[in-house]
Amino acid sequence: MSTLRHLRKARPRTTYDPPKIGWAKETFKSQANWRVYNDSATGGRPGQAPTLMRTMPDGTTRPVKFDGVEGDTVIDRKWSIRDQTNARAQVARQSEVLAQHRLIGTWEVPTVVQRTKAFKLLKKMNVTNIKVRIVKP
Amino acid sequence: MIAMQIARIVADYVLFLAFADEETLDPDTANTALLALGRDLQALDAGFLRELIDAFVVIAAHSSDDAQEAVDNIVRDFRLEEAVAENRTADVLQIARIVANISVFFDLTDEDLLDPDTSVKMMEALGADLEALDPAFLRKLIDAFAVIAPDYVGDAQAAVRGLAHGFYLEEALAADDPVRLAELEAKRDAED
Repeated sequence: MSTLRHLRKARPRTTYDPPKIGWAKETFKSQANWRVYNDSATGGRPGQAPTLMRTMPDGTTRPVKFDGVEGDTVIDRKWSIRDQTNARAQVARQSEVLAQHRLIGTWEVPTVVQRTKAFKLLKKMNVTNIKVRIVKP
Repeated sequence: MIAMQIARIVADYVLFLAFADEETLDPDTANTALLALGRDLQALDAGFLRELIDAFVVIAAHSSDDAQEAVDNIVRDFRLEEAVAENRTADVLQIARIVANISVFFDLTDEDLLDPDTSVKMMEALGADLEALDPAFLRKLIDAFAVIAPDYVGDAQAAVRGLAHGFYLEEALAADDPVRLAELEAKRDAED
């Protein structure tokens, strides 16, 4: 009886639709290591970048590019971490679009040094929906 | 060695400008950037430019056919052999100017002309290339950024002044010195 009462209270788990991934053309002709690294992200496609549509304050939408998709996680491979204006703007863009789609993002970086920089940058910007992990080239 | 590293940076930039699709990069903006790069290359020291041309040949040989053509064209279109023959003299300031101009292009080009995520990607590649430079040359380059910064105005000047900070270049030089790294980290935290 008590078990049944417990079941009655149980709420159905909220389920979310799978991420609505779009694909944008991305042409890099460089043969350098960074390009190979970016192209080899899980779920990536050669010559294309997975995108999430970001809804702007005026209601228009713009794509935010990533490098790969793994289940409910979108992946951005970062060959190096920078702390510059457009890099910070990208962090804000990614965090916002991930929140809009109720997703978590993952930055994949090649070394411990880059991971440390990434942690610090995300912490400074109070971003909690992007994780960081090392994926060696 | 340094010429090859700088040649890779320039070649990556040229390939991006030459092959980016129109949705990613406005074609007129790409042409303007290419012309500016050409002027910067022509102004290089003749000895260094000779090494750079040789490095382009090596890079082209390891590229796909269309990329090879684009790298070969750097030398032909920008008349770099002629520039060598004129035997101009220059120094690290001119290499710093090339790097600074590439950075300013990616950092400050309007979002409607250059896809912002793609520009971040290119800057990440540039950052790793700079970190990998010979430490003595990187030291000179960092100091040179401060010298050339007044040649730029507004946001571009701030961007050039901030290159070492933004790319963590002082940290790259201090990689084996934990005390210096701690100092740099404290300074960075204080600036934030």
